[in-house]
Amino acid sequence: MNTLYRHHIFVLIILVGFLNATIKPVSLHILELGCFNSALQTFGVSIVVWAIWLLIIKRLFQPAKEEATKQDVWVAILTLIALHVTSSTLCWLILACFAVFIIYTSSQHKICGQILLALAIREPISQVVFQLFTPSLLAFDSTMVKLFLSMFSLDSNVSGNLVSSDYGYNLFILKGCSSFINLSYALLCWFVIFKLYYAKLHFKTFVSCIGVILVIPILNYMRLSLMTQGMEMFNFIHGSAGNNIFNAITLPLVILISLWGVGYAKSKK
Amino acid sequence: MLSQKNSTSFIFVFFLLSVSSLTLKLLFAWPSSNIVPENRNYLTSYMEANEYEFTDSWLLVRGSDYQILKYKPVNKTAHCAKNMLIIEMHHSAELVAMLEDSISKENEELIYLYKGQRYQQFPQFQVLLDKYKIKLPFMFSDVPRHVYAIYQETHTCFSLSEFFKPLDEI
Repeated sequence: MNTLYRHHIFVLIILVGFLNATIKPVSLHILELGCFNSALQTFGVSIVVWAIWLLIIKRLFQPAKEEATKQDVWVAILTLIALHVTSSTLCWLILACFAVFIIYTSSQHKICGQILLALAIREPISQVVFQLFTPSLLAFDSTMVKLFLSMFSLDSNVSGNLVSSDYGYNLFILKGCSSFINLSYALLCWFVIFKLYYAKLHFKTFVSCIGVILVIPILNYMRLSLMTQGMEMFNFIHGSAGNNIFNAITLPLVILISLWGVGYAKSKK
Repeated sequence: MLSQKNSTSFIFVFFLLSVSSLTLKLLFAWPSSNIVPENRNYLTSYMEANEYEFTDSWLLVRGSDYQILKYKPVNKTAHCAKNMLIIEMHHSAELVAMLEDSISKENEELIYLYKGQRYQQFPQFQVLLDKYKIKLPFMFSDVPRHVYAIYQETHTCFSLSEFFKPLDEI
């Protein structure tokens, strides 16, 4: 048998940890929409999450000379035992703990550990923020949609997270389409690009971060505003086609802004 | 450095723990009716004892004293009729109590269930879905003064008055 390296253990645990964290929402999504439709919507898990997970696995497979120790094996076994919890959020937290272990024990895979930590911590943080501030966040989104519509001389009324257009169509904004969730994915994407191409975060790198924070919510308000324009428009924008179009616009945009930020930070060095 | 024996043992333990954790998740994620046999029994007798019908994909369950039953659908071509289920439950008060936590303060008249919670909290609905092969985006029960029908993953809602009229007004 070949030597067991640390990255082998890391890959195995991240693989199983990710499956444990996503299997519940993915299986419910498949049950709800069927395999094909669910696959079209990337099984209810953001394409950003899938892409970052694959990226971590790919980077961990790069040649490394760190051989596995007994400490690694015990940490891996303890992590696997902990992953038996049935809550997906707790699985993400356990993965985050494992990421901290990678960061502090492996110099070769430190960046992978940091990216994994960002990926794993996003879900629990979003849950906590939404538990605390759901009404405010969604009401803010509704108000911004109203503001956006008023820019095009379209009247609407806002009541909490409900946007009513003047011809009687109502849009009810919930977590999944909130700007906060979209922004959290965009910032995750921004962080990963900076870690891959620049490694260090300091004041200059945050210029592009501000760009992302401004652009993504604006695009989301545009999308939500379009959703208020009747059932047909809602079905199109909110369906898998509209969702994929939105991702196809926002994701490259975030990548471009982040890459520009990397170039800007390097030029100011 | 690990010996070959330790490495092999680790792979074996890894395989066992991975399979067991994933199996556990699947068991909990899959809304199997076997997990809640008492709910299936409760619902079967309930469905047999009550009259029910489909009206443009609306399932109206009769035989209860809830306000929804005092209304009749008047707009069958309404675009929100597809994929919507209105259901009356014996334990409606319990359902509403559970829903209260989910109701936004600004929209107190809105009753909704979060998508991810419905299988866990209301497994008896799953029995209905299995029985009638209904794809159910949402369901709600009991009808307070201003009730909205919520459609397609809760993103759009309509006042029920758009679709239902009191019987004495028809």
